[in-house]
Amino acid sequence: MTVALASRLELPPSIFGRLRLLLATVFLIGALGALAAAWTLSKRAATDAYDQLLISSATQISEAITAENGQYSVLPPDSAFETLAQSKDDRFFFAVRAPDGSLLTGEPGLLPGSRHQVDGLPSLDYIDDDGETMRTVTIHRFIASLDTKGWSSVVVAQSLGARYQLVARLMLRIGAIIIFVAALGFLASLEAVKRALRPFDRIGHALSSRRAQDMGPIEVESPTETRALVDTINHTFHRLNERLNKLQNFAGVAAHQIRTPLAALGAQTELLLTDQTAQSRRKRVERIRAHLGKISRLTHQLLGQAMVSYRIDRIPHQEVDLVELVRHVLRDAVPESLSRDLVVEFDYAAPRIPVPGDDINLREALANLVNNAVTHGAVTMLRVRIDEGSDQICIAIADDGPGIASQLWDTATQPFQLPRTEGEGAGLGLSIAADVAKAHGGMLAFAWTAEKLFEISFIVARSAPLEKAA
Amino acid sequence: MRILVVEDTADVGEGVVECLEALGHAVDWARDGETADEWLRDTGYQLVVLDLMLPGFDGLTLLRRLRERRCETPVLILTARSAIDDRIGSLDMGADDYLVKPFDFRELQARVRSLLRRHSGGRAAELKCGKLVFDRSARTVRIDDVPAKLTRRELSLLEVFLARPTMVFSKAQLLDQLFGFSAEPTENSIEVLITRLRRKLAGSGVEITAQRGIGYHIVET
Repeated sequence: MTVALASRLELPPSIFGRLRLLLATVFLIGALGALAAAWTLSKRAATDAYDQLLISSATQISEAITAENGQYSVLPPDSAFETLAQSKDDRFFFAVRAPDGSLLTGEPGLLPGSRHQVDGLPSLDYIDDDGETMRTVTIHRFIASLDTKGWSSVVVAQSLGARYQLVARLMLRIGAIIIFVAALGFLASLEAVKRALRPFDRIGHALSSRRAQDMGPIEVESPTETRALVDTINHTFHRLNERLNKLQNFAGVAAHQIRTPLAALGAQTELLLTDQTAQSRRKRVERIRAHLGKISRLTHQLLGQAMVSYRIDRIPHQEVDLVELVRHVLRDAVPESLSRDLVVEFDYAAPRIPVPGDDINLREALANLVNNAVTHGAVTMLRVRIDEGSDQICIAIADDGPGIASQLWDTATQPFQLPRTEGEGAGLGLSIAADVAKAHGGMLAFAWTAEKLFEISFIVARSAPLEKAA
Repeated sequence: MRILVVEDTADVGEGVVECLEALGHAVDWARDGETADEWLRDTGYQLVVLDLMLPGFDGLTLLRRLRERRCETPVLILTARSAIDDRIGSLDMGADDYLVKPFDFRELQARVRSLLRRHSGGRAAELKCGKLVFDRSARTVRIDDVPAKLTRRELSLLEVFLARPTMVFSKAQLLDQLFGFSAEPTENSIEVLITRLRRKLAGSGVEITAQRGIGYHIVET
């Protein structure tokens, strides 16, 4: 029972349904209020009109009372009854009394409704006559002659049929008009709501009828109010599409990059089982270790790449001190087990160089660059320098290694574009760094310095970039 | 040195323990947080190698309890989770270094050696001698407030001397502190390194002198 009630009280699921319910309620309450007001006004109008007739009739009768020789008499004129007789279904009767209270003419049972004796002032009342309500009017009149004087009274009573009929006639007409106007208003509002909601239906339809693979913009005629919505939806589709394309390319190349060393690992492990001499086994194990290292680095970089691209889209930038950050990176990203010995130099223009950025992504990007420089490049030295420009900050990482050939600079930041023919890298480090630089309003640049050092510049904007990289 | 390894994955733990024993350390291996916490209360270790994901309570909790007891034992974190978040969390909590799994065991050995070296002679952030200031966290040396271009190995060697200024180190001890037993360099390479370092320290008021037949030590001139 309560469940049924609750479900009946639940709002309709659609906006249209809710607005329809609201409009129906408003118009119903409005119409009922108007009908109630019309009823009150009609009733008052009918009462006033018939009361006037009753009063005029009683006045005429009262004026016909005369006194002669101590005798009172009354001769009501016909006109006094003509107006009352016009309501055919109504009964009426009257009583005229002399000042001493004796009945001059009329119904003995009809008593004056008021004892208030003011000359000619009518007083109205209702009485009950055999179960029927009747309207009465009482008029007192002061009669004086030579030998006698006093207050005579006239009471006229009329049944209410004609009044009811008048009210009913008025209500029939006014009520019809009210109901007609309310219904018209309701229907017009419904139509307006329906029209207002139609663009949403069109958008919904356009979205639901497209195939899951369809990433193109939705094309629907839309008024200015829904234009922004459609544009946002299309923009989102566009970005999703770009992201999916990138992801698909990436997945394809990544699959190759992962499977190749895994296959090599499998092959070398098989061969290990058949190797006869300890020396050949040792060689095999060395190769397995090299492949494992490659897979490990690739895993680090793939997870790093996933984290970086997630953070580029989601994490708001905060103030990051680049000096502190580079110091951490130098501590963390240079392997302790490096067999070469290096001079690591770090120069900076100011003790604190704050920029808006994502601490973790900047760290990951710079760690990749420093690690690249150390493991593939730097023979005796690695130099990191932070230069402040007017609107950009450049972190230049230079080493005295072989560097990247200048014809490869354009493609070096693409994922898996190995800049070295025989390298240990997975080919994601530069791509990650370039993505992060771009998200910080900057870029990655390559150069040979005057001292013949290979230098990668990681450039970021001093102030927040206007638009984040899509 | 006595080292505690806290690691629940048997294959990894075994590798870490053997690799540290190969460096000549005494290694205890705890497989969960409770055991490790108990042992840390009873025994003085020079280093803890701590995995973050552990049964019982996790590595970060163990680390926090350790630091709450004002125990300054250096801690090397091993983590397989999202590298950077853990890294920052654990460094804030007082870890001294971290390695992300999978890691190269040679790198683990190098980090352990470096941690033990850095924590010898107390936790002072700066080591001073003559006109020379060694900043241990930035790993830089300034002579008369001018940065000196020392290689990483020269820095490490200098740090060994500066941390224990009164001690005389044999070539074998220096080799052990800088390269480890398994590494290739010979005592000859130590001599080369010392010669280079002496040249770079010229005029700093600090000198590395040889005690014939015993080894080397640092003196303020």
